[in-house]
Amino acid sequence: MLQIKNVSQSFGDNVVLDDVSIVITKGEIIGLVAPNGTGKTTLLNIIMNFLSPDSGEVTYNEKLDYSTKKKEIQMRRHLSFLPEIDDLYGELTGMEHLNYYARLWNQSTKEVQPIVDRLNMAHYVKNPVKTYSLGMRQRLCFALLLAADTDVMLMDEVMNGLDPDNVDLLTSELIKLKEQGKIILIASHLLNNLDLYADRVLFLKDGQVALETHNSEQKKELYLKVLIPEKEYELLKTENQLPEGARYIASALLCLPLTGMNSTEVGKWTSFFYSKGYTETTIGKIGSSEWYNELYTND
Amino acid sequence: MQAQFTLEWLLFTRNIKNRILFILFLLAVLYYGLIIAPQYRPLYSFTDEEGLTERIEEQQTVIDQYGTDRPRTTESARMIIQFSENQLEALEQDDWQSYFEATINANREIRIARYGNAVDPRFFDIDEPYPEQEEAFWTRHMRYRYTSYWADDFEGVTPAVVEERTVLQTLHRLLQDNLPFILLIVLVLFSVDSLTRNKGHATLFNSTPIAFGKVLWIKTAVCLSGFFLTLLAGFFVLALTLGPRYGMGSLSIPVLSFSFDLRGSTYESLSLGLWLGQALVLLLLSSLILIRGILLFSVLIKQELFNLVIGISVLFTESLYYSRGIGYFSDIGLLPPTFFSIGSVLSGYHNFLYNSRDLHFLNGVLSLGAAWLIIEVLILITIQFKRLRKV
Repeated sequence: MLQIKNVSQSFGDNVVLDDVSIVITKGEIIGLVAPNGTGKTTLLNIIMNFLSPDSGEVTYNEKLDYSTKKKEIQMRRHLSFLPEIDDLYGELTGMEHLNYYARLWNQSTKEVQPIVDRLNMAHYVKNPVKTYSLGMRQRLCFALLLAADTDVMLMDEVMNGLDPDNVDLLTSELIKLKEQGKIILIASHLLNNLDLYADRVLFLKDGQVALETHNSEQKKELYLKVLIPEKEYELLKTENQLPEGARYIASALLCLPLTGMNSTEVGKWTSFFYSKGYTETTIGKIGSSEWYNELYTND
Repeated sequence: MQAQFTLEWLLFTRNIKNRILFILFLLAVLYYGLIIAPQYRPLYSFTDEEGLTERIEEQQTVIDQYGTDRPRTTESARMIIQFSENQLEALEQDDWQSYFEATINANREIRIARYGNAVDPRFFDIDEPYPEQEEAFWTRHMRYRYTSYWADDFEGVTPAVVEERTVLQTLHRLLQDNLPFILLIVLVLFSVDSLTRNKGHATLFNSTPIAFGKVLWIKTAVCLSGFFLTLLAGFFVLALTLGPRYGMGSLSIPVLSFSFDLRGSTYESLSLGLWLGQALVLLLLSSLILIRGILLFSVLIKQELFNLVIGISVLFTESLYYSRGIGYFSDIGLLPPTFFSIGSVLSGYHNFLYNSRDLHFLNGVLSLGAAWLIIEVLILITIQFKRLRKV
């Protein structure tokens, strides 16, 4: 279990994290979402102890923390961090990087070749990194985490620069890692992709977790979603009694909860919207991108 | 540990600067071995049978020319002929003791005949304000060296050994000259970017489960390995170029170390193997001081250029306090930079320059060891501050 306890961090007058507490259990993938410069990377840096927080602490399994040098090294045996693509050594090959990570954490390079094969890296992994494209580097960075095979994995924009096929490939790998019981924290802007594997998505705002969505709960909570301009929504609200729990997100999306509605009522609302000319009606959960719009669009 | 060493070693060997340095060093050794070393003229050359016969004929001509007009000249010529004939006879009988005894006498007579009470002009130089002392030092050195060949029962005497041209003796000569500084400059250049090259790789470098102190030791080990491998390659090239011509030499060849004792100055004999072993220890200690010092500054200042300037400056710090004969008045010569002149210290030439009897191997180990310890304490203190150790 990874615990982030009451972490605060400021840079001058800018409060980036304000008393943030998060608990992540085994086999959980947590998505971290926020606009640029609002504390995602800072939080990851604090978890890795690249940065000491102004207050608060990070513990692993309630025994390990960063209070002593010895404990820090023990912590690092359980944590790995997705390297930035520019931090790879251009003069070394991908294979040399992978062997380094595998040996450093596991004293064995046995798993390196299967990782290379799974991520379709065989055709380039023996060339120097300086010859790689952005996507190749990104895949290598992800492969490094697989080679380290730590209990906790931290990733900042892991899907950057990847084509759709490779996004799918890494997504399936992330789901496998979750099944293996890994604790994964991912900061990402690919919100629809995040919804495919994240158990929870934390939205950071004003230094705090402004919203935490749970994927498992969302599965139960389906909505009838329709795009309606704000002025028309105000009119609609006065003319009709919206069901309890209805949300109007990001001044654009009206979401009516299906919980408690029967099929006749659903049909009635669908026909009503259609008759008003709102043809973009869908049924589904409220996705991270919609929450993102709700939280940050008007800022 | 092994993974980190492998990574650091790969980075060290793939570094363009290190590769260029390695190649340049080997080319310089090759040039030295093929061009410069064969041109070496020892102060006292080995004279073979042909040379001795020529010398006897020349001196006979002098006797014939001056007869009784110049009794001192003819007497000197007779003496030279006598000693030269002794040398010839000794060479024919392979009696090296007699040869060296006769050579010492012949050299003395030739010197008197040529220069009388004046100083041998070969010791005059633009940068040499003490030619008389220099001549005295090296003439006595030659006498003690020749004596040590038979006194120490050394059996492998050859003309190349007498002229100190064999591979091992060439190394011995070079170490007494500027070679230690050239080697240590190479080492400084190898290590200036050892830590700072991680600057652009923070997420890789800072997330590893290895203590920062250990990483610094691994970097030290990599720099040392690279450095000594370069030296080994250089020695191999030297052996290839000089070995076939002059032989490898032997580790049991006697070499001298000058020092002062109660009777005044003296030369002590030790085997070349022991001397080179001591040189290796001083080189290792000097290397450790420089690498660890550079790593310390890499943590504090994080600038390669600063590392380079400070590293090279430290090498030549001795010039700030060196003054001929100062050892009689002060112990300042015991400061660590003195012992970077590894060969000169071990051969006692530094004792001669400083007028001191304290500049020897043991004090070198103590002085360099103390400096190393101080640097280690500073590193230990520095890496406690997390803010300072980030790359």
